[in-house]
Amino acid sequence: MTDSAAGSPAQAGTDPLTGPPPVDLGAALNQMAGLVLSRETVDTALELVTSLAATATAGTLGAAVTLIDEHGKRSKAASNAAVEEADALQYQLDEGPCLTAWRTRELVRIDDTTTDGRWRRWNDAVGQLGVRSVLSTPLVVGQESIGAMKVYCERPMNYGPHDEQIMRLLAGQAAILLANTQSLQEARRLSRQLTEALASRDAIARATGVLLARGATSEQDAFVALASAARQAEQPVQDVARALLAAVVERNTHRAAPARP
Amino acid sequence: MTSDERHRRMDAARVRAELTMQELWLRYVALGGTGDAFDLDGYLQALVPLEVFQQDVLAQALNEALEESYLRYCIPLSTPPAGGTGDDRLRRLVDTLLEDQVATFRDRLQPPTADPPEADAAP
Repeated sequence: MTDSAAGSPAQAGTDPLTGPPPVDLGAALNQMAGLVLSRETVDTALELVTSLAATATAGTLGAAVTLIDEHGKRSKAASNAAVEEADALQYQLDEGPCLTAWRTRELVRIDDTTTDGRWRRWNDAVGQLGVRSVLSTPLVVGQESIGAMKVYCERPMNYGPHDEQIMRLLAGQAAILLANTQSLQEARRLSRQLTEALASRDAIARATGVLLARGATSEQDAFVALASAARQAEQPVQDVARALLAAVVERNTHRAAPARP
Repeated sequence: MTSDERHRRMDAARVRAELTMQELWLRYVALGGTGDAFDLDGYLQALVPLEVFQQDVLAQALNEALEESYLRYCIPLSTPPAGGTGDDRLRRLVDTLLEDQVATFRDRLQPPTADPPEADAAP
């Protein structure tokens, strides 16, 4: 199955900027609920929230979501290049509606970047990119502000109280979704690490048993012998334990082999 | 090295290897350690004692982490050095271990090689 570049119908259908965007919040919220269940990644969730924000508000040129964790690390998604650039400018200049929304936990609306005086430098810069009106909502879970989502339009005065209401509703759900996906990802990482740790522990315990059977006087004795060998071989104890088990199996196999005719 | 000094050096090693308490505990558990994270934290802060065997497991966990962090900074040569691989050496060591010589093997290695030059050598 090849992806012909000449106008795939699926591509046109998923582009939120072309077709008339159906403002269906119910479907949007359902889609997010399903995402939690299907255990998707943070990146997928970010993309979904971004495209939902773009389709749920009329006249939107592009949308972006930024997550900021407790270490100040950011993960983000933007629906197009202009939005991404406008977003990056906020962090370069350290000012802009989304940073304010994130910090104050209040919705921010700019009706016209050419006349709004609150973020002078940022407004000037994005005005040149063709961004005129902006709506930005904080993503708040419990007591914590985890980021912001925003929509931009190339026309001034594009957003009104109705859009504010839609964005508030969407942001409430999106924040829960994103927070859950983040903790899910963290839980999965921990579970993988634990599984690896247990596999290593198993190998070492079995190797210790082998050494006990061969004359080691205590578990500590056996462990020290493994650790000493590991130091000499310049390899982790886990690898020495696995090599030892493999060698035992090999010897037993050899011993069993001559019995066959 | 007194036992007093040991926990202090272990905590210094943990910082040097850039491990959080949780990461260190996970490595220690992977080597067969039976203490919980609270035991380790308490020991490294000189609040609770830790069995000598568990101290050895912890020491090994730290040594492996230090080795890994050191190797991360190493610059490889343009041509890999010739000679036997580490696998051959490992196989010989394993054979020695299996020849009913656990005790002699260990004795031969004792006392453990002295640690790198210490600034705090007593006068």
